[in-house]
Parts: sequence; structure tokens; C-alpha cells
Amino acid sequence: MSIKENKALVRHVVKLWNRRDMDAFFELLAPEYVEHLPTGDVSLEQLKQYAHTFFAAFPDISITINDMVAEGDKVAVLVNWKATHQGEYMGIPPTGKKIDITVAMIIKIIGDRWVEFWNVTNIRLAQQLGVIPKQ
Amino acid sequence: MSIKENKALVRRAYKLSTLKDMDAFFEFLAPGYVEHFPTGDISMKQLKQGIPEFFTAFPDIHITIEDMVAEGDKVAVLMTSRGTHKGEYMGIPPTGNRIEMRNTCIIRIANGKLAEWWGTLDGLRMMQQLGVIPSNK
Repeated sequence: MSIKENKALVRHVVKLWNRRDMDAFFELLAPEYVEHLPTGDVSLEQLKQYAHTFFAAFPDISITINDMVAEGDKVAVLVNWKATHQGEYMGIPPTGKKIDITVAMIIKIIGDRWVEFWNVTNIRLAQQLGVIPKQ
Repeated sequence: MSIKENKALVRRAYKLSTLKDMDAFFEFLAPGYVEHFPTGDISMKQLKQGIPEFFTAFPDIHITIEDMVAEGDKVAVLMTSRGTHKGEYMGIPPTGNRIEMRNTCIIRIANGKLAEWWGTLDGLRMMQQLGVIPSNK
């Protein structure tokens, strides 16, 4: 696929996520899909389980794409997500606080599906500094 | 400049940063250079003030570029910074802990220099918003 098509796919996937159309969302992830997080890799199966917890914690989450940079089979995306913390997340009871974070991530696309994903959203630094307890 | 040249420029700039050759590093930044964080913009002047503090907190910091994706005048970078927490950082007294944080950013290049930067520093902001750790003043 061209970088134009890859960007369109990323846009489409984010739209499905915002609509909570998770069946259609998971259809666009390859069976071997893996998310590389600083805390370790997450498989498609793990993601499917995790998605429920995530939506329970942030039921009103909305993702906006701010920018995309594409080359070859990869798309880097700068996204902003806004949500309210309404359910337990990573051991933290719901705080009712508004979350507004910007994250840059890289997605690898083969055919018309996402195969790999690199992200940084995690709490490692704070954990390693001992500010918050480790899981 | 080609995307190849832009990637090479980013690689050189971050290498200097790891070597702590900050005078040479700042030469790679355009005069109007700005870093866009969710907490607000950081100017070149603020960056020049903030970096010595960061190097004092993590004197052995080492940055590794893991991946780059480039298009037009922009380069997206995935990098890992590793270091030891030896000085006060964001109000946290030195813990001696090893840190390893991954950053992703998008950099705009103009006239052979780094002009703008958008990125994330490991989700710390979210933890601040959750009230788990104190917010930076």
C-alpha cells in the first residue's frame, strides 16, 4: 500500500476506536499484531482483554489525530486523547479527573492491516523513581 | 533536504546530546526552535535552562535512536534514554534508581536545522493528571 493508503487506514482505525466499533477495529489488526510498550509486548489476545478494562476506566475517551508522518510501511502518528477517569486503571481507583494527553506512536502496516505498534504511554519513569508503586 | 539527509541530521543532533556536547547540539536548532508539550511550549531559552538540570539529575544519560520515519520536512523518532537518577528531578530527591524511558517525537526540519518538536515523555503527564505524582509547578 502507498503511504497515502496507510495514512487513510490509520485514520479509519482511529474512527472505529472512537465509535467503540471494536469488532471492526480488531478486524484491521493482523493475527500476529503486537504492541511494543516500554513495559513489554502486548499480543492481540491480550489487547482484546485489555480493551474492556480500558473502556471501563475511560468510557468517554476520544482520540484526535494531530499529525501523521509516513514512510515505506510505517506511519508515525501524533494523537491527542481526552477522557474522564471513571473506572479503575492500573490499580488506581477512579478519580473522576479529566485526562488530556498527547502521544506520538509508530505503526507498521502490511497489506491492509496493522502488524506492529510502538508506543510510550506508560508509567515506568514514575515507577522507577519510586514515586508510584510497581504493579 | 531529502528525508535521508533529515534523518542524518536528527541522528547527529541526538548523538551530540548523548555526548553532552550541548554547544554543538544547540547549533543544530533553529533560533525559533520550540518543543510542543501537552503542558505547553518550551522555547530554546527554557530548554537551555532545563538541560543542565536534567544532566545533573541523570549525569550518565544515554539516548539510543530505535527507529525513524521521515516524510517531507518531518522526521518521527522512537528513542530510548537510559540513565541513573543521581540528582533532584522534578522535586524528587535522587534515588539512585536506573531509569529507562522511551520517547517518541515528530521533528520538523527547516533550512538544515531542527525547527519544531512534538512529542511525549513516557506518560508521566497522565500520572500527574491522575494525582498519583505531584504536578510540576
